[in-house]
Amino acid sequence: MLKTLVKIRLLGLLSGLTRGRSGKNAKKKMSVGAIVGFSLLYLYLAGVMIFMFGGMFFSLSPLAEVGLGWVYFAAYGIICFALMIIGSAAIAKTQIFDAKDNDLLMSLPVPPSYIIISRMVTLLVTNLAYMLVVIIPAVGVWWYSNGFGILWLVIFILLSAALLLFSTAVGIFMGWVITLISRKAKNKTLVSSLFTLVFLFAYLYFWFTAQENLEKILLNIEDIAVGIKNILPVYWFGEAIAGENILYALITLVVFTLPFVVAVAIISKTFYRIVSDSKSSVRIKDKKVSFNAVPVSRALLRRECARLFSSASYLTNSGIGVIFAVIGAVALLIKKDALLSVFGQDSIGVGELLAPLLLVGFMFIFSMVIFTSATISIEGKNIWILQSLPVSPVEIFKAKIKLHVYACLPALILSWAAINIGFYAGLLFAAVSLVILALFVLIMAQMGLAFNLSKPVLDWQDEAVAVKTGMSVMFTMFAGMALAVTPLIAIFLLADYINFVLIGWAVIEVAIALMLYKWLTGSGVKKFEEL
Amino acid sequence: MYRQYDIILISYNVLRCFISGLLCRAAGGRENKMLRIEHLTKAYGEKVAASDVSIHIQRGEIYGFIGHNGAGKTTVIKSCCGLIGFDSGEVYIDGISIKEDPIACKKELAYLPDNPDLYEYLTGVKYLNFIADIYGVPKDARKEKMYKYAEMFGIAGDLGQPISSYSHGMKQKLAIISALIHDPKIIIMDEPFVGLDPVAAHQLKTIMREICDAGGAIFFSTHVLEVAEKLCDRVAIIKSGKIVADGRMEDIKGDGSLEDVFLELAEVREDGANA
Repeated sequence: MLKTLVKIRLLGLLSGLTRGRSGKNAKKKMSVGAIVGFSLLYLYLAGVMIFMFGGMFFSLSPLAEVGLGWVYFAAYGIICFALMIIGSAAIAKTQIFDAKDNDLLMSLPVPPSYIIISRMVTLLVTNLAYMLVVIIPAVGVWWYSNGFGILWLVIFILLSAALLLFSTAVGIFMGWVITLISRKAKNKTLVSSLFTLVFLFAYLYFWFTAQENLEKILLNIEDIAVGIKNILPVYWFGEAIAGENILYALITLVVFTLPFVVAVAIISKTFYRIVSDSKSSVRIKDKKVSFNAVPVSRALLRRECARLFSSASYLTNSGIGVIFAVIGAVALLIKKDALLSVFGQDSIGVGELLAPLLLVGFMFIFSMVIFTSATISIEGKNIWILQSLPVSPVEIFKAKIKLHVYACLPALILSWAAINIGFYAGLLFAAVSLVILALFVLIMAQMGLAFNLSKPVLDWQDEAVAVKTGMSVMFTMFAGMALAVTPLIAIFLLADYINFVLIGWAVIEVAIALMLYKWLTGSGVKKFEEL
Repeated sequence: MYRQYDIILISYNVLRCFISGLLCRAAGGRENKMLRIEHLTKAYGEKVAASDVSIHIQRGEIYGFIGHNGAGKTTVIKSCCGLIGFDSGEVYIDGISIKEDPIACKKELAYLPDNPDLYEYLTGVKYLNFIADIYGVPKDARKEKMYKYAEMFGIAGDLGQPISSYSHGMKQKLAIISALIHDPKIIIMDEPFVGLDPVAAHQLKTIMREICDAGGAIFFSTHVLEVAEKLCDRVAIIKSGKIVADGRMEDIKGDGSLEDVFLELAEVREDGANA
């Protein structure tokens, strides 16, 4: 029975990766070309991470010569742990505590522990994928620098497996806490969004400061080693592998595996309560209601807003660029003197192009705002409502595009103001830059909608699938980024005629926007009607 | 000479009006048939879901549509509402072609699917307000209708709750209210009684009769043959995409019951085995 459950979960994971998504072909497998394409993309991303970690481990490899080899593996353990728990918490919430098939499985003669274990297998497989991009460079660099034997390999594999279990257990615990808080919260979307943003910024902080922190560690390695030694499980972990110490290996195995076993036991015991708590909600009778009539366009826009703000994953995943733009604009105003002092005196004349380059930078940031790339997918099973109403697809599209544009508007104005206040480059630049930014935001809105009409994902069970996966999301982001950086070439080559370059780019943007409008009102309408 | 000219002119104008009237009617003028399905054919790949289906529904009629699972009922219903395209044939809602002017057709009709997935992120009243806004129902009229039907179905106190907290039956009732709120001329429903408690089912039947008595029409599919037998003026039976029986209820069931007719047409023998 357990084997069957695990098989189903793994098949589901594989199916989610290889199933075709677009509308009528949703039940078919992805084409071989698409599978190869996605595989190459994943391999590329994994390759970048392996290369980056490889560099880091290479810096740490000389530590073995001074008797601090355990620090190398302590760093390995800490990085794996950090990577795994961030993803685990979110997955634990949706796959274990709020899973859609809980009712079905609970109605079957299946022990709760089997349900939990089968779900955890999915989590472990996902975490292993993250872990591999750290394991490969860690083992590769250690083998190159110091070599290893069979005992080392056995200890490494066992302790890495234990670390996987430990990190998963901590992630599940965090997911449980997040689930409890968001269930009790009045505004669940806000709470979930806040948690998502906190994890995202922690993740980004980790990446952006990794190099800086590594340099600090290497400069103060002895003091840091003393500090880490006080965290015994970390020291035991590192020393067990580096020193091939069997006693420490056994202790670490127990310490790291126990939380996982305890987590499985506790969740199995309390599973029914966890699931039934997710269903319970108090209905307050006779809550005050209001009736107001608005025009069709406003009704459609209101509905889009309600949809957006009801989904934490949609809000954060598709709208993160808005937050980055605001942060970027504020940082620009605060750090403008530092930027001017660095670029103002450079020899290649970048200082004179600072304003246009910042404009391109903000366009790049706005290419991360991709609300419309999932706007059709997120309709899911509700699509019949829009299709049955006496409202033209063009009106529906307008509402979706308006939402995207209005959501970007405050950040757009702030960004534009930051560029022109901090790095004033003339009235003409001020006018053209506003037009360019506004048109870019509009193009992103149109492009996302066009891609999503071509490649919708309507048969999802978990809305994160609609928002995060699917070709329209990726195409929109990559196409947007490519479009954002395109003017760079002309900016550098024709630096002396920068205002003409920008005016020319604005004209190109107008042409793109008109082409997209024509497509949306023609083929786009047909695609919508065929959904 | 002038008299002859007058006669020619008058004759021309009469002829012109007559032709205009015919064209006007064809283009969307008021006709007695609220829903006309003409030789509708729809295939999904090699599977023909609906084959040469023709149904005419008059104003004031409750028209039942019955058939086995996978017979093509939902395909025909969705084609009528403009949710899916069809390969050949035509559908007219109050004389307007669904292909040529789907928006005008949708203004006249209301559609209720068999399993209404509603916007769970909206409250009941917000959902109804949204539907009413689309159809341009004035504020006072919508308030009156919402409360009238909500109280009838016993969910007036729940309109302020998010739809995510509704039971399946409550969602079904809300979907029915949303279908009634704009006074549609024809309501097309796919198994509307599924999930309704007996009181709500009775209320719905009453509403259906009232709509038809006021000149509207109802076209609905159902598996509950007893309801169809008591409620419907006319019925069509579909089998494997083809209409196998179509006519007045009394003519179709004759001296027997609708169930007997249905089973006979489905070729199920008395011993319960399929032919």
